[in-house]
Amino acid sequence: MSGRNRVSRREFVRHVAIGGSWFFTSPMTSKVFADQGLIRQAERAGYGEIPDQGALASWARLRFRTDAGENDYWDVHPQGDLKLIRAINKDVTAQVSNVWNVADVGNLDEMVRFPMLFMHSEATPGLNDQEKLNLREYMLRGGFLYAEDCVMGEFGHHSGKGDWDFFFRKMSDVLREIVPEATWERLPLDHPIFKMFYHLPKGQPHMQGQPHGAWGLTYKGRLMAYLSPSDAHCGWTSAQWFGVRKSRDALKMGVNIYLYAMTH
Amino acid sequence: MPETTQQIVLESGLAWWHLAAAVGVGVVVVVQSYAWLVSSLAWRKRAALIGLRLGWTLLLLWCVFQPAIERTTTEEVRREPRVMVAVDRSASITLANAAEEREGAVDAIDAFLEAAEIDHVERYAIGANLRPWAEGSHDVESAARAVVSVTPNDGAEADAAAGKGDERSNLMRNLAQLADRSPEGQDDTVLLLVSDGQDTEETPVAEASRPLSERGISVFPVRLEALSEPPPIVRIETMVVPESVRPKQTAEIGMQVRLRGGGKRELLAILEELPADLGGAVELVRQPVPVGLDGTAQLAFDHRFERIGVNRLRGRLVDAATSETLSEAFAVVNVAVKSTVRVLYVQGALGWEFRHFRQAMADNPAIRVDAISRLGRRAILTQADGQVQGTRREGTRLLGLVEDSLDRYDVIVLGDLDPGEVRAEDEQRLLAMVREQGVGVLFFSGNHTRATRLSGTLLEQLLPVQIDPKVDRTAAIDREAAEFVDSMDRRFRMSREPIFSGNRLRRQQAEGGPLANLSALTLTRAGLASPIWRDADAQVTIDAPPATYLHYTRVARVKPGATVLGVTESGSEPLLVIQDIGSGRSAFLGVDGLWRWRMATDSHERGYDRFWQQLIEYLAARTVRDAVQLDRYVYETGDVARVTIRLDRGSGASTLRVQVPGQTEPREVPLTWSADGAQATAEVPLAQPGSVRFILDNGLAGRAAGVTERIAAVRSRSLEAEYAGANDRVLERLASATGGMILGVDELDSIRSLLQGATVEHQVVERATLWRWPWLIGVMLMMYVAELVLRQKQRLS
Repeated sequence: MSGRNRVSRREFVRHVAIGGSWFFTSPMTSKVFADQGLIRQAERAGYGEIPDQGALASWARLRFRTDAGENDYWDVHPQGDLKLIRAINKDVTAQVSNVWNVADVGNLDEMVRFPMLFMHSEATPGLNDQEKLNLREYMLRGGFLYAEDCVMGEFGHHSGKGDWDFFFRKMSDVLREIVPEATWERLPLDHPIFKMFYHLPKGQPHMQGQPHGAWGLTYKGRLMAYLSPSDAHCGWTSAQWFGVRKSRDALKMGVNIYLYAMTH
Repeated sequence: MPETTQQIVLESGLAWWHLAAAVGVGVVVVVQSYAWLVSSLAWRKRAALIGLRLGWTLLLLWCVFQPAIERTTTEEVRREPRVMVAVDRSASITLANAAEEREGAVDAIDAFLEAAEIDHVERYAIGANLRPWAEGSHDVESAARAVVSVTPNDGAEADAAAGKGDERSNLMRNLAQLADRSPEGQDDTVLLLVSDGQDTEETPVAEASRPLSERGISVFPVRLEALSEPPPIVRIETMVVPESVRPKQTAEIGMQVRLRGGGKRELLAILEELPADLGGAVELVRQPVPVGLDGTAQLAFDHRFERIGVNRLRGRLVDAATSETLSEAFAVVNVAVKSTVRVLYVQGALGWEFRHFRQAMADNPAIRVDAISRLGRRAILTQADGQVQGTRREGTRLLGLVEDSLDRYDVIVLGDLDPGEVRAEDEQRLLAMVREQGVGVLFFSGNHTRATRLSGTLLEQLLPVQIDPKVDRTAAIDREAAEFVDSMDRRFRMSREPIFSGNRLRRQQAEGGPLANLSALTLTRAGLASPIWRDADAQVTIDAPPATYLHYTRVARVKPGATVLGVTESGSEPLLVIQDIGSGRSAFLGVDGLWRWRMATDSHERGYDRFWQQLIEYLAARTVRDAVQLDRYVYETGDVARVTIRLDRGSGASTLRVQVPGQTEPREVPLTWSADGAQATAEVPLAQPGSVRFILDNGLAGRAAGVTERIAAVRSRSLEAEYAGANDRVLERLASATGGMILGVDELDSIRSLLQGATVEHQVVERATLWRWPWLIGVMLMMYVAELVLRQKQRLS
């Protein structure tokens, strides 16, 4: 090895420093660490028991089991939830706590502490009878369920033909089954939820997946559940994945849904 | 023996180690600078330069750190105990022929206090209200004028002012007033109480004794031997009826009965309906009164109202054996066809309460809810059908969205609203709507509610409670709280109130936290009996809500005439208060977060829904726009009933007719009108026991025509006689709750040791400054100039 090709100690250190800096500051790395941090924080505190920071309202993710086995993927990218919370707090007087709460679908007492629950996964939900009853009771008591298909499946759940809407299809069946007396319908574009705060004339912004449109479960004139196949949550999480405009529209839709739930 | 300690303190507020560190650094710098910068100098000159620079540097540091000697002298001093003597001047003692013994007890107390060398004694006379009492002065009339009434007391003040003597035995109220007058921080007050223990208002002893204990007042009742067992009481205290019901609705009629003594006589309670002339009553329902009852009880009758219009009801207590009527009471229920109630819900900040409120109303087709919500700079109007319209204009008035249609609403809900959001012209309009048009208003607080900003606003006049910062005992903490809140606002970008024990708005923890930290709204007796809490359809009382709220708004006081329906768990602070205001009604709910009630109970339980529906229905009830207000519920023979009539629309053609006992036809009484023609007063002398009926005809034609009625009972002037006699149980509980004991007149010496006073430590702090001397500055300047000259002479920079 000639001396010319040798890397000096100074150069080696410089390269390591630059590489390390890039690694630790890159959006992807920070997102991974932040997500893991939030999940660990929720686990340490016990689900549904995280003290709030003193805000008026809260956000909570529904924890449930899927057919993905050991890793249920109900907790995909918590950072996206926090970005939506920031978007809500930025423009409206709803002061949503910047805490990522979790409620388990098997524990109704945990669920009813949160007037709105967000349900999200890439995999097919596997709810047992008790959990379905809990979900029904939660909604009948006045709770609002916002379910969003994470669509992209890398875990063997899709056939490779592009029919990546397992979550959406399963939840459509579940919601119809647990509140049969309610109306299950695709929400029209003139529904107030699309013009609640931001005007979205095209309805639910579509990030990826099958464009089924937004569906709602309406009971006695009240929307108790909102189901979307379009993975708006990934739009909240990063503007790099679907572009800035789509990401912004996804956040607007999230704000609209939250405000609609609060006012209807 | 006084103890003295001395220490050096820095008046600049810095710590000692700051001074030490600064001196150390200064010395090193000075020595270093002259060690190598001027090394060519002779050592003497170098030493002089170092000395001069060191000198003025140290003097400068001395002035900056400002040292002083602080001398603290601690000595023990004797503090005289505070002694109060309160003498019951109510008629119950006179009627029991114990007045002479009472005066004897007062003389014995005076002699005892003189022997104990107590120089300063506060003396009070108690009766209808507390009043200062100078020894030898029994001028009741002049004293009564000096007393500020806390709550209305059925005209006792009027009696006193009219010179009829102070007859009422409002003992517990007197004690509460006494506690209010006592300073905080003194915990060795002795109250010698000469009383029979009777209390006309029957306030619970625990409630009255709490403020006394908090102020360190020990009560020592002095027993009056002449008082015997009180005579029996058989009486209907009040009848509780819904003010307005729908036709064919079954509603509950409550009858509060008071029985004391009299053996085990069998009694019957009978509910009757009376015709317009009050003769020929038709019995509706009867039920036995529990045998052996001693105290008060609430009897309930279900009655289905068939007839639209005024329904006159009479309750009677009769002896089952002889059918003799022992007591009676009257009530009027107006049965009206109900129309749709339109509610405008104004929310100054988004919260989850509105979602559940709206859902609660959805089951009742007779209630339609529109909502105005503040969303940042934008305000939106959500109509009852769910459609949304809004505005993005900067500085939009919330009520501006319904500028033209505000008048069509029956109830306005102001939820979590910053009073600053409502402009003066809107306040004026709301006030007029409530007072004159009979609109109901509900104010409930939340995080955005700046309760203190309500003080002095027109909006405050709409509330049944008063927010007055001057009443707060912790004004200093309040200021700290404000600073704390401001810093919290900045930190969390929250625009509003919050958290502080001592501030009016307390937050314990936010939504989503452990439910164990939540508190529950507790109902008062009035709350349980109110139409708001009784389920009108199911004929049962709604279950009290579980723990739901995180913070609540503290009120300075409840306005006279308002009714407290709900309180905090401790029972000390009102949370749900209602009041009639002009033609309309007002309610104050000091908590939010009630939505947890709905989420925490099974979906088939509708307590939350019923509560909100019935509160809204109560507020919307304006079937009786014209009001006949009486100064009392029950009169005694010889009283003059003072009647105030208020008209929804002023009319000089209105007439007031009165049917007094002994007359078969009502007769018209002259009215004295106010300048605006909306209010008038009349005086009606009442000579005979029985029932008196007041009939107001508003004199208007067509749909506006209306007749309003009130019925009141007139009893023989013997109310106080029923109370005559010692109530030792009350006196014993009062004494034990406050750390005192009952004394006989000859046992006063047993508390002499308590009057020795307490030895307390008293600290005197003196401070001598060591830096504020002009010569110090002079010396420092001289040293600096000397160093300068020396350096120039040696040609140093």
